[in-house]
Amino acid sequence: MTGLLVCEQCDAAHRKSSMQRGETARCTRCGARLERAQRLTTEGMLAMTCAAAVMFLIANIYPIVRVDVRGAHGSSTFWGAIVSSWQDGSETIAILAALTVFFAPLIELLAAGYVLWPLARGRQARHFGAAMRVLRVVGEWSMPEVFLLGAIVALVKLGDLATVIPDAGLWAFGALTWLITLVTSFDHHWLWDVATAKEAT
Amino acid sequence: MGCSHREGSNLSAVVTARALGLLPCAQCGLLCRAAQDAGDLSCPRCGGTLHARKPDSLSRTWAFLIASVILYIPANTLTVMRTDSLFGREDHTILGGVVDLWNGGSWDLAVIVFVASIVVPILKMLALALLAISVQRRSRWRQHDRARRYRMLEAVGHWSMLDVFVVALLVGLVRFHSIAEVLPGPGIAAFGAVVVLTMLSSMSLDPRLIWDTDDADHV
Repeated sequence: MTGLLVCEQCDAAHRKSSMQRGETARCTRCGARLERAQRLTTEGMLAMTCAAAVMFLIANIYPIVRVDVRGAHGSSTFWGAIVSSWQDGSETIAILAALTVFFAPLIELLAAGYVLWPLARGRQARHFGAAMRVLRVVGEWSMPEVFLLGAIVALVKLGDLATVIPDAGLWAFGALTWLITLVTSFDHHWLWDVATAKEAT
Repeated sequence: MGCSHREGSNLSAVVTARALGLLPCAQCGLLCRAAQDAGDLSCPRCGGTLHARKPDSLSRTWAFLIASVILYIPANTLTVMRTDSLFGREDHTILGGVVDLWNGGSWDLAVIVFVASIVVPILKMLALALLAISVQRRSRWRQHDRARRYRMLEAVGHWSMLDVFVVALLVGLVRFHSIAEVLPGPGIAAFGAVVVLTMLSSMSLDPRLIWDTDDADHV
């Protein structure tokens, strides 16, 4: 059954053709992306995952911003904001933000590391299939990039009220957004094919 | 096997996986042979359940969509954020937040927030309803455009979460009890729920249904 490629969006079957690095194949019927030739190798993706993990740590430990209002100082980390929202009676937004900006990226990075580490060494992880499923489901709910834009909007809104200074956490969120997009934008089917090929040899 | 017109190009025959008796695995992409009795098959490579189409796609899409439309009303009428400062107490709604940004001179951010919080949710709900209705009526109207619109929805939907993050951050940052304080309002929870529900709705919709009318005549 190899040699065929089916469009996920409209079910049209296509004949596979070889592609150059970075090239994208599109469906002739609906125009959706069929397949993308990977720019990064599994080793390269593993390196990106490690870098993203470091940024994730910094983004969650350091304050995002410092505020100064008439001599009163304040600063907030990402978790500080979550805890305050919870205490002030909006548990829903605390849970939503924690899930989409902390837990989803964390699980994504852990699952990516778990999948890529053995692959880069030529083996397939024992629970490869489960980890890939987790990556796919959780990926839909991971939103550090939206949070980054939200932080910028919040800074501007505060601008009239107080002096605001962006802190290390904000820059780390910026870097994390970029790295996690690189790590998770890979073609899932491609990674499955790589893993199957590794298993066979 | 069905045929489809591609605008400006010649007739091209399209063969679907279904017509070939193949089931592509949604998880890992492996092409499996469909069984005659279409029971619950699982993928031999990854163990995922194989479905020719997403199960109960339309009913799930409608259920999530209707719930989100209902919650959209409190999301826009209730307070999303209350500010207490030396200048007095103010209640903000979603639209009010955009106006504040605009009046404050940040027209660029005002446009971004307006698009993410107001334009995207409304367009998304309308487009989902349109897609669901046209699929139900087995319409062949502008399939290519509808398919593209669906992909766009999937790509931009989660940006509406922007306002939830803005409120959470402001609440966390502005905690100077005597001078200024920001408190979350009930509207923001409703708004967050609208975003989540519209995302679930578009995830439930199977875009392949848009094209299935092409095959119907031949099956």
